[in-house]
Amino acid sequence: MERKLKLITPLLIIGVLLLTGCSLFIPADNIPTSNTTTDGQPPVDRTWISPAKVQIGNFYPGARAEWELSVHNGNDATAEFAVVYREPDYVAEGYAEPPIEADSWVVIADSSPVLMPYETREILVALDIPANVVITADKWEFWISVKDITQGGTIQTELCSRWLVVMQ
Amino acid sequence: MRKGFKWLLGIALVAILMLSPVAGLLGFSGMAFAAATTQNVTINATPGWVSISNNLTTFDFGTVLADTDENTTLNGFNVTNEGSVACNITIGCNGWAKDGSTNWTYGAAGSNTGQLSFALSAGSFPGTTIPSGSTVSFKTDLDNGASQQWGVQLDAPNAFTHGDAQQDTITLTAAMNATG
Repeated sequence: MERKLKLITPLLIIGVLLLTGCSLFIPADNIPTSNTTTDGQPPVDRTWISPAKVQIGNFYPGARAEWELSVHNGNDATAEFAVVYREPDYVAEGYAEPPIEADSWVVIADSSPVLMPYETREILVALDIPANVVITADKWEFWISVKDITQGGTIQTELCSRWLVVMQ
Repeated sequence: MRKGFKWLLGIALVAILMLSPVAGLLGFSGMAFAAATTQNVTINATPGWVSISNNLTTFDFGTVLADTDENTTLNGFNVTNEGSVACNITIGCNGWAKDGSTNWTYGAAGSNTGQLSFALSAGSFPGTTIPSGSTVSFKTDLDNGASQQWGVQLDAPNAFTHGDAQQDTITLTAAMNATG
């Protein structure tokens, strides 16, 4: 009998692990990471950012979500960029403007990167809301602005990545 | 020994079930399962890149007279969506801000006060005032690869008290449109 049990025990454990998708080792904090794919290649000689839009779902105070924003310098000279939180010029249907404090919840790993000609840099952007914050909007939007601050002239361009947040 | 082994086996199984999400389905709605429900934050990114360019990066009206409306042609500039997604573009400026000058006040024509407006190629001047410190819609749903011609008008002051050069920087801001 004891021998049978010894044989059955590992089989039972393996069975349970298979049923649960080996989910015993759930990390304490689920921090999604970048997984962007694109169709085709962006131009080398144009300044661009990617992704165009990031959607965060089921978010809650105390949670953290992060994504890498690609910034490409399309100039043939070194350029410095300003990567900053920005209130949106418009929001998606059903979404609200961001809470006033949202500025302090967005962490940008490098907000003034200097890029070599035609260099692409991944910049980590994280949304980290304190656990004690009360957010009344169920859905809200903020933008990450990227601007080449070395661009001269009196007509300049700014590129923005839209971040749409849906709360639990 | 045999009895002890059965106990050990039972405890091991219960521990495994309580640590796993399937525990909820089996009625083990303890703390371990409650903790697992906070793991559901999702994050997705829309593939593609945002990029725009304007054919000219600077424009100079030269010497202007008081109480005049100087303007480019309606197709003086051309902005192109170089990205892979359709974009909305907004426009704004930073007001009169030339280092070393006594700057005008930004606003409808007055003494030492003037402003800029824009119009798309299908429109007409004076068009829409370009706000200072904020933005207005410039063009919605500009498809990738598409261009939009536009022009600028200066609503010059109706009187000057000095001849200092003036400069205003216009910014075109692109972001993915609502349906892209």
